[in-house]
Amino acid sequence: MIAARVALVAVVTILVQVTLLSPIEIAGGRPNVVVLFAIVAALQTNAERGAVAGFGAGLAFDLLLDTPAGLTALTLALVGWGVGAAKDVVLRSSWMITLALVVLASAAATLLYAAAAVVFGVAVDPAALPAIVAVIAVANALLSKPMRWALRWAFGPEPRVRSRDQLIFR
Amino acid sequence: MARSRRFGRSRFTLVLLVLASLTILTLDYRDTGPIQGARGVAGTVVSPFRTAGEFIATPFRNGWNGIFGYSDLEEENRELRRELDRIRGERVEAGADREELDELRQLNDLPVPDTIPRVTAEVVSEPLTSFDSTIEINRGAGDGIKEGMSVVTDAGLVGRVLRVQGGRSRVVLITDPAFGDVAVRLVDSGEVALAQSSGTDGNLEAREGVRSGTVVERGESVVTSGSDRSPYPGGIPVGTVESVARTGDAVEKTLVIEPIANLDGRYVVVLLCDEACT
Repeated sequence: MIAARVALVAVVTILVQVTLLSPIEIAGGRPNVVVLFAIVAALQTNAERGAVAGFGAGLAFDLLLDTPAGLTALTLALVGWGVGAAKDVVLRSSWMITLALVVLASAAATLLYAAAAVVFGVAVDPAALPAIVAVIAVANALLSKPMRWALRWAFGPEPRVRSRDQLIFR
Repeated sequence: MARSRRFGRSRFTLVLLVLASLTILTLDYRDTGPIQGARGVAGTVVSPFRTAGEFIATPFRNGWNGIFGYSDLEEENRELRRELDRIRGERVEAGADREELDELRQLNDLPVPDTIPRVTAEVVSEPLTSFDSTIEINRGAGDGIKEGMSVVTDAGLVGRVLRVQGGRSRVVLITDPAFGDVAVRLVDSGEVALAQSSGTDGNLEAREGVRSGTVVERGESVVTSGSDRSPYPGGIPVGTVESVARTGDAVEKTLVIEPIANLDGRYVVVLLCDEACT
């Protein structure tokens, strides 16, 4: 049941991306909410589930792109795992830390994708990268709240085991 | 202990996913396996949603452009007026050039592109991500479009059909390295060369085919050669020579070609021929 709900959110995310967000170009960059799906899935669960969710959504998105198939899946699996692992290090959950993780992970995912794309023969303009990274990071920060609502519904409520009085980092 | 075991399991899962991704990348790179079929199905399934999304998003996009693009529109308007003045001045000269081009076509016995059947298509989708450079047009298999067909604007060659997905097609632009080689001919000297995208600067580069003794002037027109080595019909304008250099061994010249066609308009024309074009 959880898998079906997560798949539904992934499909809706991809449709929102291709119909509403992809046509928006700001300073050469286009928002990418599929990256946000992988990041928030990892934040809501753990590294393993984040990697699987990122891989699945990335692979589905790859089928709509003309860049090499598997590139987005590879990037989002790594990013989902990385965010899940980073979340395990953070003890206290606060909206500031979550937002910072979303922004940093979005930037890292974009740079990782660009590097992998170059390896697989896709032309990437290095001069355009800062604007692309900025647009994706800002858009994902703005959209992180609704994505968290959607994935909280899909995965179910988070277990509340952490105390607010504990240290932020281990 | 439990945390360490869970971390180990997640790492194992990650390794499996990375290996799966690399397998898919390899299959796609070699153009084998079910990847292309899956792409076709995915494109067809998503197509109606994209049409609906376009319908919903267009008024918002127009509003956005109206608010944030007003100064750009003013500048574009001024630029267009200057361009119109220049075109009026060149009209007489263009008539003479057209006669010369027709004469050259007859002299070289090249096929005349006007005789090739064609279909006009609207550009309905721009690239989906910042790293994707293909566009989508609203014509597909039902209109006679097949993979590899040339896509032109009134200015010249702009791309080729990469994939047909039901009633839509994806087009790879001539400036994309994935476009591959295009056989071109220099209009003045008649030299034939192979050109390909030079990367991210939006230009083409012709690295082989132009002998070092050939006189090539900056601004010289370049058209498709229509030779057996190229799937594109002959005589379609490709661009103008931007710069000329010699190869390392000084045997040939390398040319940087600025493409003449761009995708500022909403419409393109697909030439409905593949092998028969040449």
